[in-house]
Amino acid sequence: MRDEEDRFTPLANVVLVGQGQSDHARDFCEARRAADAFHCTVAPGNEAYRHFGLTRGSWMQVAGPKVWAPGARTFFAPEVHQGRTKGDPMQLAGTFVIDSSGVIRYAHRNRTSADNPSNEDVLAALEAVTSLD
Amino acid sequence: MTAPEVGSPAPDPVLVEGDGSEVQLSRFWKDRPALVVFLRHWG
Repeated sequence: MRDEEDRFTPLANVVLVGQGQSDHARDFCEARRAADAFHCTVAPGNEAYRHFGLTRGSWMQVAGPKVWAPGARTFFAPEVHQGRTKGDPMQLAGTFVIDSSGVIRYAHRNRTSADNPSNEDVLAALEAVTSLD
Repeated sequence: MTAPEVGSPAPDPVLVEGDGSEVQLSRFWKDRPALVVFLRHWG
């Protein structure tokens, strides 16, 4: 997603929510020159993760065999520079599309640390919402 | 805490921006849809 930001930003405000301190969000966005495209934020105490039903995973979900292959692909991808995890290493990720009335229109809660939705799925959800908004 | 489903109102937690200021998540869906991506790690 981060390498295709120009496909997402015309359709929605893109908000990245991470763990850690605010300077982690700032440094990430500045390093990626993404500050103008994405809103980089952190969730104090991971409360926002809980509100959206994003749970802590088990070791199998975070580092088990199902994540080895995609994890290796990510690790060796030239465009990816995986940073050290800030905060809870067991926290699972998620992706949500919210329309301008505040209703959730798409939800993907990662079942493992490698279970990210495809860009095409997210774009399809955004385009469906944009056509109704 | 029950996980909100598609079709239900989104939670509106407080987040902290890179400059340290607090912001309600709802600010980002006021004018147009929001894509909210919760990360495991930065990078």
